[in-house]
Amino acid sequence: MFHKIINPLFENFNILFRSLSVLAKFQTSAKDIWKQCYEFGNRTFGIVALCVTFMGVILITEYSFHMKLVIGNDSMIPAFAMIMLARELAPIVTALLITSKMGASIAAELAAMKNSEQIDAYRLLGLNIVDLYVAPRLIASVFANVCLTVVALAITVIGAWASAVYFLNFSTGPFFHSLVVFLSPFDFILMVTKSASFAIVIPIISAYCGLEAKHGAEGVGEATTNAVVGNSITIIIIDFIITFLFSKFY
Amino acid sequence: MIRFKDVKKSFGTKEVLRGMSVEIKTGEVFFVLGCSGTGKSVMLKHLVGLLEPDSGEIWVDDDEISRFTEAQFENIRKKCGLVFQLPALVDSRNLYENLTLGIRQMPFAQQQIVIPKALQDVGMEKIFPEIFDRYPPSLSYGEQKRLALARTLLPDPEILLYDEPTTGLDNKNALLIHDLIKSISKHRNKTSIVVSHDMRNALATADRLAVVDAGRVIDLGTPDEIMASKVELTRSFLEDLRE
Amino acid sequence: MIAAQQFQFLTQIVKRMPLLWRERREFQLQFADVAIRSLSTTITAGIFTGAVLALQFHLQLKDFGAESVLGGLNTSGTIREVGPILIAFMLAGKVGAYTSAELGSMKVTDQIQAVRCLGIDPITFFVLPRFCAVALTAVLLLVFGLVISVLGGMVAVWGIADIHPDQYLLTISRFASNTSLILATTKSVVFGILMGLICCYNGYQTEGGTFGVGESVRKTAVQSMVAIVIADFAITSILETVFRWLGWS
Repeated sequence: MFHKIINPLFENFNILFRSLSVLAKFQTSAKDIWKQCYEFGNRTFGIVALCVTFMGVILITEYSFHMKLVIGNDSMIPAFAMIMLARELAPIVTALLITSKMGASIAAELAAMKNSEQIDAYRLLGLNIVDLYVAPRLIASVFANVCLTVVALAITVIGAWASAVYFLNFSTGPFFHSLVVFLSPFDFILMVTKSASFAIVIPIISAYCGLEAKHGAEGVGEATTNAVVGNSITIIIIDFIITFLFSKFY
Repeated sequence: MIRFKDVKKSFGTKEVLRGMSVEIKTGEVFFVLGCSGTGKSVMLKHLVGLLEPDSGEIWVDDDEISRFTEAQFENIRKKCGLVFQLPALVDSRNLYENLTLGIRQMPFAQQQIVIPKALQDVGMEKIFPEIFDRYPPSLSYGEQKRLALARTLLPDPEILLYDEPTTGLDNKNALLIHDLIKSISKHRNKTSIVVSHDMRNALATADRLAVVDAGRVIDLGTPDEIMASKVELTRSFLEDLRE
Repeated sequence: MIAAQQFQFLTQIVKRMPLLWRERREFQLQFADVAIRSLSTTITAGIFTGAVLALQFHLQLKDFGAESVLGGLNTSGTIREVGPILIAFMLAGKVGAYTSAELGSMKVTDQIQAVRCLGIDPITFFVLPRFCAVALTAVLLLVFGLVISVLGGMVAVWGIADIHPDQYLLTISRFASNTSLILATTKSVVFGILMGLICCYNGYQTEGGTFGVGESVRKTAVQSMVAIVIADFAITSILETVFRWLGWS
């Protein structure tokens, strides 16, 4: 039990610190980083856009239902729904989608590289796979994830607005007015902090799982599965921790 | 009797079989040799309906199978048993379930008679008491290959197809497998088609050989004829032997 | 479109459903395996989902001084909407990814082909027991996870906002109505079936060696999430309309 949790945790932090030190010393090529940003952002944008649109619509419908039940009036719904979206759902859903798409890819690629002994080959040439592979993806992940979350939020606003105006009898003016009044910088800070934190976690854990892959096709499958699962659980736990910490300062 | 008549097969833009024509007589041990990627495995897979040719005819005795449906292949598969290159044992099921995949309808009592016999044929009779407890990953690679052969033998097919049976095995095991192929073919009166790139063992085991290159048969004959062949590729295979 | 192919795959599985009896031993093994493996994930996901949502709702209700209704609101909000989605996301990773990896590696090591050559239908032999096991486990675990999330929310709120569980539980009956339960159950069933279908389809259709297996897992994870979100939207819309028509709230 000790072995199963402490050792991986230690390894993960190892990868993290190594990547950070490489980045701090500017040893990664900017070209690599941009390429990874493009990969992350481009490949996940469509899916994120699709999912968050639906979420925006659903959330506002549900909030309307609940608010009417609890308070009897629903003029605050846009604001409250947006707050929930900004603080919780946008960061989590975006991060989970990135986990599936990019996290699994990273783990699978590294596992395949391990299988074909590429990683050892690099080591013999004096190159460390973490420097080459993980470091650019780390910073790209943070950058891309934050941008994607912001964009996702914007999309949910549009989706929610469309729902509110066409199905819930809101008018555009009051909708945006209540948004402006109730959304505070605090919500954005929370959102960005979460996105960034999740974004740091994803490449690290995925890389760890890929590098620890066992041999053969099953090993690759197992590594990819572990990456997706490990990321999901960690994201949700970190989400709770951040929310809890921030709520103390609210 | 098995006959390929001008069979063509492409995967996307990649042409693998380009007019493969060959005839294999009933009861003979027939080897197909060639470099990797020249369509040898593809040829075997056509015979059990895992692949469908783009054009040409394939005859298994009196049936022309190139346009057969999955249902029609049921009978052909009882006649032709394919031993895969990878052992392809089902990891999640025990050895008994693996062995009896082809003979599930057989009553248990009868299975208990034929299984030890098949295991004996492949030299693995010692494993019989453990077949309900052990799973494929606990066997060595050589043992897995032999068990896969036993599995294919149990439904008693008339025609045996071997896809690279000795690739990845050491010399001792390779020799063992080749002896098995020969003895099974003769004692049980079966036709055997072996895809291989082991020229040495092929010459020792086969009744006839074919050399395949670029999706076509370029040389054909008995071991003696092959050894005297003037075809360039055959000669290069034979040269490698001398080293 | 992929969805059409997957639906066709589903019909093939359903057609063979009566044959499940033959492979029942495999089904039982798979079911036990999947359930045990996913239990800890479900509990963790449930607890944290409930807790986080409780926290968020608490912060928002504080402005209104309406904290007393936190119990009901949180339960209702969680099990109707966010709970099923988030827990399903977690399960898609654990359960779905694992099964598609398993089927995928069986495909690339020729096990599926070998079985076909021996006269056995690979879908009945491999896919059917796994699909049933995954779908059934997913449904049960989703429901279980939702229950845990209610408890998780209760504990979090007790610790953080000093609202006693009794008060929490009181408001549940006021706000978490039958419609919430119907919504939650329907979603659990549909998500479970979707997860089973997607992971089996992708695993079975794996191509391209060991790399292909990783690809399959990735596809399963992504497709599951998208399918869950779309299904959630569809179910919510349809059921809400039905409820309104029936006059329930």
